[in-house]
Amino acid sequence: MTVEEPRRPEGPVTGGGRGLRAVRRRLGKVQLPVALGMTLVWVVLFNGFQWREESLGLAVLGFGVSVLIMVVFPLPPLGPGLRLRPLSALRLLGFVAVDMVVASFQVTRYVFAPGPPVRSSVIAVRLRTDSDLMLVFTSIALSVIPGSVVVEVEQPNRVLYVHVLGAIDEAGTERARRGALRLEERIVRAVGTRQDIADLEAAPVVGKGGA
Amino acid sequence: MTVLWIAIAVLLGLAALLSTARLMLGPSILDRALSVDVLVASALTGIGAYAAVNRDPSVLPILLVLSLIGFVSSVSVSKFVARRHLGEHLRGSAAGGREGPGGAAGADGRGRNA
Amino acid sequence: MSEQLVAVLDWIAVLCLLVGAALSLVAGVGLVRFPDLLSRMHTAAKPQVLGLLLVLVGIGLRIAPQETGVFNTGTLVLVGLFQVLTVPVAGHIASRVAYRTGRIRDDLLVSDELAERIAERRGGAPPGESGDRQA
Repeated sequence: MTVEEPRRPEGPVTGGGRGLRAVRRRLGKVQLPVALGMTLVWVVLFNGFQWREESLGLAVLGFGVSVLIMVVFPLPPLGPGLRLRPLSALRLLGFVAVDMVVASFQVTRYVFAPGPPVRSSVIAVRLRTDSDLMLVFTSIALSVIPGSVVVEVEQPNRVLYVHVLGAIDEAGTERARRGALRLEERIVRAVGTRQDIADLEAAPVVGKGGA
Repeated sequence: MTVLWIAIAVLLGLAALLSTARLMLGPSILDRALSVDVLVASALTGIGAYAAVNRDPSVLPILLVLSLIGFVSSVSVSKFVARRHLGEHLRGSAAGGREGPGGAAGADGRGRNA
Repeated sequence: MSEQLVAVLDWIAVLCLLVGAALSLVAGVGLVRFPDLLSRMHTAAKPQVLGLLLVLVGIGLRIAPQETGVFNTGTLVLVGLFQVLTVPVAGHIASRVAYRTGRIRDDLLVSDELAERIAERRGGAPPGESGDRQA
């Protein structure tokens, strides 16, 4: 909850105007694209795409619920937003799917490998774009792809600290770092804004991302 | 076909047994939360296998609910561990025994330091 | 839908479910065999997501030939979406807390750039500041 919450007046006399203003301020925080996305989830949840008489009402109700959620639990606005490029996005999905399968087999190999327990490293990866959304997407993709878990995010410097399973030497950590940076590049090319792509291309090709 | 369904059930049962073993062994509460997570995932797979065997879509909402509850449980356990650990830390290091309101703010400060 | 197509879809579905169940088992074995919390995090999050996605595909292939409508497909897509979005977040939060509270085994980490960074910030203090930095 936000800080404004306790200031909501209790008395009915002054309550009218100020309460209305508070509600209007909250309504100003509703972000239309996010609300539309939530409406989509709602409609999928209640089988609205199979056309029935009540489908339209379902969509309207879903939109109402999303607006209500965003009024009650306001979120900070989403930075510069994102631009979907369908072709690159499809390629990204395919890339992530292939990586998931390959890396799952790798983890399986580590699980069943005899001998001493597997060792790993924590590596630092400095991302090249400045957008929060890109940071979130990159860390989610890194975590879904096996063999790497994001341990810590250093926000202002946008450094991700990634725990890499089985990276036991310089070559292994370097490969993991390059993989993470390539993933970031693919994500930015798929959903990044023009500014993000410019950031990506302006950044020097870095070998060692951390510190 | 039937043999394969039985094989699926056996694999899932073994997975559940192993994660139960970790649940009992687990040195810390985080290990236990993690093994409960895997247990829930095995349950999800099992319910999914049931739906597939019997061609019965009526259990699918259970999958939806379980997949969300697993997330909530492991996040709340982690938050609890972080706060408790921090409380002990403050009580141990600060001479004045400062606790309570310092908890959440301290967590934030530490986050920025680290 | 023709009989043969349904049979082929059934076989693919059984294969998907079999691989999904096997990945669940891998997660279980990894949970028992891996030495520290962060490594266990890998087995818990990863084969689990892929396994569940495969199982969802299997369910879809088994149920699709029936006249059941969009409801099932929508629910399956939502389950997959929630799983892919939430498992990494939960894994990150848990491993972050694990690192912060010192449940890391240094002998299993070959290089630890986060510890170096923390030490740098603190002005040369050793990375493990509290005494409980063990298994």
